Amino acid sequence: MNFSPLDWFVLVATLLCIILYGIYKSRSSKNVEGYFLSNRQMPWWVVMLSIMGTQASAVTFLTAPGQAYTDGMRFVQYYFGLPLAMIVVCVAFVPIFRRLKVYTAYEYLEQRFDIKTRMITSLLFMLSRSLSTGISIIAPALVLHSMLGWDITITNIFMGGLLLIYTTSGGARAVAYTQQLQFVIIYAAMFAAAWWAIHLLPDGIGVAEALHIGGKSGKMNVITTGFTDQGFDWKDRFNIWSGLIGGFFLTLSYFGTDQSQVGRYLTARSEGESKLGLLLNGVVKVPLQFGILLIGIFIFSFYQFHKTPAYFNLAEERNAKSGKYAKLYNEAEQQYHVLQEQKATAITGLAAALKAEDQAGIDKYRQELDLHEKAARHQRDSVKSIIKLANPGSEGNDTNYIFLRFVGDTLPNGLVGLIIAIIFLAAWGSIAPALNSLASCTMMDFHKRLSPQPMTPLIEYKWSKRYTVIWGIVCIIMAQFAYNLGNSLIEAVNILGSLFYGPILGIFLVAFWVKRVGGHAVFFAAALAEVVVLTVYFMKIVSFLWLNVIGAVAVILLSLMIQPFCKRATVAASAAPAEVPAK
Amino acid sequence: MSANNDDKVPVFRQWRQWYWFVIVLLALQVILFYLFTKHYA
Repeated sequence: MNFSPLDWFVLVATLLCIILYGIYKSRSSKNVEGYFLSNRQMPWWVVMLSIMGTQASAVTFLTAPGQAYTDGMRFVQYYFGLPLAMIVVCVAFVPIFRRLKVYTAYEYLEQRFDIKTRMITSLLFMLSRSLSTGISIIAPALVLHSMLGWDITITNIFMGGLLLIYTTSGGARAVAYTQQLQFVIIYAAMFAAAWWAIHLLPDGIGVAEALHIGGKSGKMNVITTGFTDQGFDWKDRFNIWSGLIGGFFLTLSYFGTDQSQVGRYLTARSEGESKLGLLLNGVVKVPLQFGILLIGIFIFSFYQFHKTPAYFNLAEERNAKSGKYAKLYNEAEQQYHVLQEQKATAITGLAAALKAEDQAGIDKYRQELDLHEKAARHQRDSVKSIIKLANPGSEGNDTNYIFLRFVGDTLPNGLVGLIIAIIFLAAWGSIAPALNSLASCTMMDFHKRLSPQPMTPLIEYKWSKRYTVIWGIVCIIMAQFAYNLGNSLIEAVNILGSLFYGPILGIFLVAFWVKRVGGHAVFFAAALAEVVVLTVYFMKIVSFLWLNVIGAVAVILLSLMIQPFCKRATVAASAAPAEVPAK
Repeated sequence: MSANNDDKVPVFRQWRQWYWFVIVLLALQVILFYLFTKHYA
């Protein structure tokens, strides 16, 4: 992949622009409210962009087009539960968090239950968030290493370290304002990439034809039901039901109980602006994600008329071509290209038939395309097997590399640099609020809460900055650790969120709506629910989205069952109105 | 759990109307995506 001096210039200039803008926006009061919550003065549009920037990591932009390329558009259903979750967050979570003026979501749990529930939940958040932030650093670094040959450690340090300059100095305010600028740059660059993919299609093939080509190849599967001849497939990852129900519980837990998100909407200048930011996120998220996935369809259509790489990960392709399996790989690649040419002929015929509205021609070429598509897919599987033989540590999955390979092979100089820059920006957009929230939990849920003597606002502020730096370093170390342990750990950590989110959400739902349950009951119920979730996960009977539902429902049911065995006094104390001043 | 806040609700009169707006919009998107799937299949 060619990275020209112009690309370097665009990359460095874009990153520098963000860092300087972050420093410029770093003015905040020297106290914890200013540092962690921007003095609760943010307007709704900054809150909305901050929420969106926090949710979308670099992997979102790297993987989504590749996901559509390989598996079709059905991934968009994963987001169907999000708008509904936004409503519940607005109705149940926001008013309570705002009224109690909490700094962290877990602070409320102490007021409703007890200190151990607060600390355990906060600790679980810190564990899972720091691991997933490590992954947010290492995942794009691995892709850049593979495509551009960049050193992993140095990329990690840049990916996780540069943003510390403005995150540490400016806190939540700098994080929110830089996310605003990052959002504009990211979507402008993605739009440019989509336009370029359409521009490169042959004469006579426009957007409509590209969508038809994707559709006839089974990629326009936006809505799927998950039902097969054997009934509902619980292991099917993305369908309308897992998206609506599983996605609802996952996003409700994420937006309602994950401090990296709670910390964003608590910065709003009023309860109404928090709600507006969240609701508008619910309005725009699905169409935006649909648009990003559509880029994958355009890239798919582009590759139907151009030489398609048999495997998109450049480093692994080079490795297979240079080792003892080189001959085998080259033969398989050759065969794949022959099949691709046959497929291109069928697609050209199909496009002409579509334009002429010739139904007989459409049916004929569609049948041909089906056959070629199956043969090409089979051949690509053979190529993946050889890749795995050549490198036993390989995951044999190149979905994350499709978009960047397209970028590197086709986009003009300058635009390549901009796309690499948005990988950094998207990574920073999710890492910066994560570090801010990790620091706020450490400071508010542990340091300040357990401190025997009250601290001055300036001392609290200084400690908050120190914790931001410490978490930045910890997450970079975690990223390096994840890299050294290989892909299996990365996959495990990606699922980690769904293992904990359900029970944490269950604790909050009990806190809001089951007043007769006290601290001890909910604590033991959450521990048991975690065992249930882990058991279901290891039995592999459902896809990961359903784990969120199981965890949350298990906590509610188990806490109701355990409560009668707990002391009455505990319930009375716990169920008292939560009017304790925020600490 | 009511929307007990001191701000004016933007665009609509009540937050409840905002929630219905989000739900209806989601339903419309799902219908549109379904038609999209059928049309390009």
